[in-house]
Amino acid sequence: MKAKLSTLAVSAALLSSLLGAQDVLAVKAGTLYQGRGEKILKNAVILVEDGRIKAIGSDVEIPWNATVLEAAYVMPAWILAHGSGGLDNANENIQITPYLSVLDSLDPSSTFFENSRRSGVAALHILPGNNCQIGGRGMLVRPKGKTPEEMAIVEEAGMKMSLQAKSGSRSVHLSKLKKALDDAIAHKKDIDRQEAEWKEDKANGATTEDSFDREDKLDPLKAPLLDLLARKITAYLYVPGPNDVPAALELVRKYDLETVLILGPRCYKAVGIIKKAMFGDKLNLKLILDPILELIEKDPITQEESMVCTARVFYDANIPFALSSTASSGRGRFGRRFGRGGGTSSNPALALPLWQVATCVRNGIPEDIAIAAFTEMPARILGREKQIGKIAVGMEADFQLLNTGPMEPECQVEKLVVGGEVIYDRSKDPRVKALTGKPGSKN
Amino acid sequence: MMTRTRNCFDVSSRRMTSLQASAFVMFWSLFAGQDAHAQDSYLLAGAKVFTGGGEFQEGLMILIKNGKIAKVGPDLQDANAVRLDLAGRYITPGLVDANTSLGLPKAHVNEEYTETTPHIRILDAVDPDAYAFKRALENGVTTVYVSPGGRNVFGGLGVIMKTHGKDLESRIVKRDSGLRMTLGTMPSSGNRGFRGFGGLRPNVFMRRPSSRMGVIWEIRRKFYEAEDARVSGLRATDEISAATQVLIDALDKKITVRTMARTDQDIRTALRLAKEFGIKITLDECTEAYQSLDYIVAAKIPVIAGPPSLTSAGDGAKPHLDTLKLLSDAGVPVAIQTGQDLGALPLVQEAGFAVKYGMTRDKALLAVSLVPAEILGISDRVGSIEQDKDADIVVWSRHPLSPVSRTELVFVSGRIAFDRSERTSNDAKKGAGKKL
Repeated sequence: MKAKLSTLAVSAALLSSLLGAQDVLAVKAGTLYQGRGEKILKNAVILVEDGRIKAIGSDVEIPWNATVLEAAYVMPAWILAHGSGGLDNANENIQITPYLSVLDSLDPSSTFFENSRRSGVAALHILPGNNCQIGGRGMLVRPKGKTPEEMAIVEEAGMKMSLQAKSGSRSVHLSKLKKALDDAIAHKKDIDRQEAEWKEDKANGATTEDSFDREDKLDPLKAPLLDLLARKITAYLYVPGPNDVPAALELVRKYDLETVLILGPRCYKAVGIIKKAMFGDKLNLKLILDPILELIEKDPITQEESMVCTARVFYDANIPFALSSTASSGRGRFGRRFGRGGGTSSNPALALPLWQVATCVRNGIPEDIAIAAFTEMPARILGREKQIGKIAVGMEADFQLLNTGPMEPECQVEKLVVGGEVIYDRSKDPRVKALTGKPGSKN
Repeated sequence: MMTRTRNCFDVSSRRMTSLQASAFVMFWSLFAGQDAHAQDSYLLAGAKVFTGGGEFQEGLMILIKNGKIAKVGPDLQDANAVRLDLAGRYITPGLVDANTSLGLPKAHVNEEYTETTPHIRILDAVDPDAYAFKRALENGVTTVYVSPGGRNVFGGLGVIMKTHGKDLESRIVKRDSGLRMTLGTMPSSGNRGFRGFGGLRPNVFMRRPSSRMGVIWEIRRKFYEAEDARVSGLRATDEISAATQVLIDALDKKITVRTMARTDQDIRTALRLAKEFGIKITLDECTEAYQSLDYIVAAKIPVIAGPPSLTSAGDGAKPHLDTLKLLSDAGVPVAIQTGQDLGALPLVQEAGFAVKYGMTRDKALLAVSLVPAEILGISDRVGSIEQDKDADIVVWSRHPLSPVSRTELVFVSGRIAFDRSERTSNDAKKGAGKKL
């Protein structure tokens, strides 16, 4: 009986995958924005087969069996390269936890993923929060699916590290972080020594063991750090302020880490140091900026207030960057709210990728670069620029269908296509229905 | 005066080369001498203009003279005016924010020695040099209502002022404008009665009211007192207090009662009180207006709605996405406010969010210009681009409601109060943002 059931399940799966393979989607776009450096097409068709883009153009023939969607404006879906949404608690309360993974904490039913779909996000790199020296492994997901495994693109992605001192001083924080890495190096050396001894014993005939099992000797709590040190895992290092930038760079150099820096809003002040490290010293760094892009600061002596667009500082310095959308820093610490002339660090608009992009454009960054900072750049940071981040033949069919151009005030995501599948449809969004119109029954 | 030659637009009279023009401006500014500001005269040409109704119009020119809009029309000429060629730009009236706490040390400034302080003036607490005014100005807001806090049942009298000007006196548009009345939990939150010395007694530390019904009772009690005083014909100079006099003025509809009401129940209470005492009210924030829409329409009460970008509100009120659309579709005069410590975006961007959720572009622009000016009773001076009104004018880089639009020039009372080209591309290059 059991066997029969499983054969049935297998054949059903086979059948559905066969049917799935035949799914053809055609999207008619009034305007098609494919990505930076590509031509903007009018009245174009995107043909999707098997989750990938098969053809793009105005003369593409739509097959008879295709599902046809239409939209005034189609552009690549957003990609979030760093965020801690959808987790019940973004950090453990001990400081060195490289062995933890957000896979065990991710809540697929979280409204965070629902909001991501609503605002046109197709891929998210969810990492532990900023409160631990070494927080654990991140996970690259799509905002669809009922289990973390279903959502996963990569189940174990980057390693989150942070220079934000939660207890004690910055120097103690940094030394503990270094000690954890040094311990891991010492552990590796210890195993190397054991292996050398075993080889020697083997040669001398002093041991009967046929092989040396490195895996067995490896401390599972330290193993992820060895992968980090071997550049098999990318470090996502949170740098809260400009004075932490030199320490971050030293860490990267000393331990030769493959690194993405997540820069707090005030880090724009260290742009010179970052530029020198990237272009002068050829340090391979990638940058993700804090969602607070318009930072209001007060001079401590003159009390003069000034507003800085942090992204603009990096753009002016010719440094590529990615944007992110969930605030990584607590409100109140950076800028006050607008009513009193401060920032807007608590406004929900900060969570909208389009708002982040618009803020860049408003501050003088060209539109295609600002859009790339939330599509192409995060894809590069994640090492997936050949699969996602643009609308191009052969790439995954991730795009958003808009009612107008993205810089119009009326702009809404009408549909979100991820992997060739419509995973969001505003006309069927129950939350939008509940939050609009006049509630007749209650009146 | 010299600063004008530094702005990014062609400062040129029609028949002059730019070199001649700058020489002209220099000569003219020397000649203009001591009272230069009064003689500032500009001719704005080439931009699309939103005068205060309908669409943006092309081919309209605006002549600014002596701080006022001297003329609006096609093909204007004035030899003495500095002509600014603003092709591709958008012009709107200076925006009006009908509820803010700009210039105040905190969002809710209240004198808390008693729960009803209708006679206290917020103007006495405003710092006119506060950076908040400059931020508002940079974002195209030229006139604001500064409100007393909501910790008292009657918070006091607000003030309407410009965000820029020579001195505080010249910036005030209307003193003692609007009496702040707050419903809901804010005036009672944290309050409790003090039991001791033979009964329940309020004092400085233990305030009343401590419930919604207590708040309403305080309002009634004070209005009853005022009615008694009115009937007996007393004035503030006689035996009644200044507080009672303000409430008599409210009963006489000489002063608008700015009623903070967020939840459906508070909105209905506000409407009931307005009817009961025959007072003139506005509904502030009015988060759950979608629930009590029919009642608001029937009562013909204007709404000064909370920021549409927000997804949460005070008093546990539940914001809906399209409240502003519903109100404006139903014909309710609706203005948008950035409010007191709500975490709002700049006013124009809030209007953009209203459009995102269904309000039409022209209604949204009106909701931050002419409608608030009318609600505040200052539409004879500001809120639209019409002859003889104050020359409060904003030049935008793109359609102002686009999220990527920003101000390039802001005129307040005929003078350039903000010119973006005078700044470096980023504040970081000067002042606070010293780089390592």
